[in-house]
Amino acid sequence: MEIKKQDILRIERLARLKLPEQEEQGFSQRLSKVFDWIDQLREVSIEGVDPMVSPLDTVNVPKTTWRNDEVSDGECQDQILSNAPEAQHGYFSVPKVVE
Amino acid sequence: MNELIQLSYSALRQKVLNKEVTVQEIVKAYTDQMQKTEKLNAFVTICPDQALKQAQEADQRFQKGEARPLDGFPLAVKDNFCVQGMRTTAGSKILENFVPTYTSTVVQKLVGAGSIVVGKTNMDEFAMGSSTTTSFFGPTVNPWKSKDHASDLIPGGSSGGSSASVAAHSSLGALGSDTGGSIRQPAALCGVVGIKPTYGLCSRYGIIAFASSLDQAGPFARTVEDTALLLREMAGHDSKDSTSLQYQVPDYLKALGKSIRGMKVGIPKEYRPDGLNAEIAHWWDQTILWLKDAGAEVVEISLPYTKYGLPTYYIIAPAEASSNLARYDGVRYGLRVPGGTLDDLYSYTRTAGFGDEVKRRILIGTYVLSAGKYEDYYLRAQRVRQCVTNDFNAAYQKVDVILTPTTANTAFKIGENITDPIAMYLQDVFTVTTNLAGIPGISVPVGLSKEGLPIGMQVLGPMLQEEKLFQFAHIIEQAARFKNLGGHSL
Repeated sequence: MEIKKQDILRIERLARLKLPEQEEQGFSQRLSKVFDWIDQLREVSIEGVDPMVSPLDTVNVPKTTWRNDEVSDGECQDQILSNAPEAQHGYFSVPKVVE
Repeated sequence: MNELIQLSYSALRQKVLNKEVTVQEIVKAYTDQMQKTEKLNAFVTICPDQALKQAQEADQRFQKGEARPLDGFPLAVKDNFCVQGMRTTAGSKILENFVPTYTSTVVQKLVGAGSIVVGKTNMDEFAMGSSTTTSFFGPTVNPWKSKDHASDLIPGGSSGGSSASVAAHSSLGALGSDTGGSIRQPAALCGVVGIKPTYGLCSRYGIIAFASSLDQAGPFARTVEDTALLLREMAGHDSKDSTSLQYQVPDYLKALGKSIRGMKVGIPKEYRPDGLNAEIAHWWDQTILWLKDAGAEVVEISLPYTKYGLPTYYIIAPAEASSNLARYDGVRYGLRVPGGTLDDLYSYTRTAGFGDEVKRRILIGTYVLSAGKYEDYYLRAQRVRQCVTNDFNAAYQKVDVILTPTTANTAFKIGENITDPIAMYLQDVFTVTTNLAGIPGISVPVGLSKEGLPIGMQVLGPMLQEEKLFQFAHIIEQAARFKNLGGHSL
């Protein structure tokens, strides 16, 4: 299936990342090739088959149990903010969003 | 070369108990080897000082008779497992300076059992790859060389730093993660043992997520015994991972040495396509003979949906990745590239921070999840995934385990093959259906190609039947008597 340059531009926007402009054309060819190969899945008869979300559906052991709704960690604001590229007054800081 | 780095954990432990050697001497031998093999680029971060300090503590516990099950076990950890206070990068520029505030559950358990982390290992960026060439920190080199020594070879991937480290004797065992083959394929190409456990056996808490319905952590070691030991200590329920199973983990060591007489081994005909590498086919046949000699019954089976496994995977894995990697936005951690607006900041950061393969997969994932494509691609893939899983379920009505090669080829040269994305993806053709179904698989080295490169066989089993995998892997190991590198030629 052909992936056009405008498709690439649309998904770049959705994914919030850009390819270098000179690569966008090459990328659309590359992705077209990948999707040509992926399209063999159209041969498969999937009528009446439910989508599989997780392998756990096939295991016969107890799965998740609810744990108590209690704080089990925390008190590490400084450590967490030390990984932030920019922090002010105990908050993550970003460019102004609301005028 | 130091003899200590040749021994299994049980032999080392015995020596420590006999007071012939200390844990500090063992850890020193390993950190020395780490330095000697530095050019392999197996490690992103090393921590020899911290390791020696922990070795002292382990020695004290041995002296007091309070040694833990893995006390003094030198362990390498793939760089997508968070370790508190230790830089964790996932092989990406976007996390180049990320220092986690907490430790992943499996590392916590292994360290709690006494193992000593010697360093964080290199990997394909965000575990996306089969060659450990897409890391921001440069490629890892396979310690094995072809006979002509012509060029450096890939160690496989994405856990290639871990497999290379174990093969090069710069760790006794290592942690990896396997989303489509990322433990078993590098284990095969580096001539070591590696297991991808059942989905849900080991906690994923604190592992940097790639594809959450496929990811599973598992160990590497040079022997089946050490691999079983590591898995026993790292497996088990964790309330911090809602997909981890409430399951009583058995003592896998008890499976070693058990007879396989009368047990059934399935050989899937779809894994023997025309043109399968003749040397791989030869070692597959040889392994079948060993299992027959040990009393197993070998039967041909069919897994008809096998060929659809790989394209299914290349929808589901990128779709999940595109969601998981949305968190790298330059706000809370990692790289930030400033922009005038918040949207620009996101976009500039992600554009600068992710490598090409990661971008490619995020874009594929975004596409298959986007309006108008979701049903046609993502939902279809989930349905085919169920068909692939049904294949295995049907097969396990007839057989105990399935035997296949782990890889279609031996290790290739660094730089080779990488231009054709589909040729690269085909590296995962024998491993990826296992992740789709969630079942466990182990790779064991069986022999060398004419070029002198390792070949691995894969034993697959039903959900939570790791004991059978270790039982069979041990039989194969005994028959193959595969000679690991020994660290000499490095």
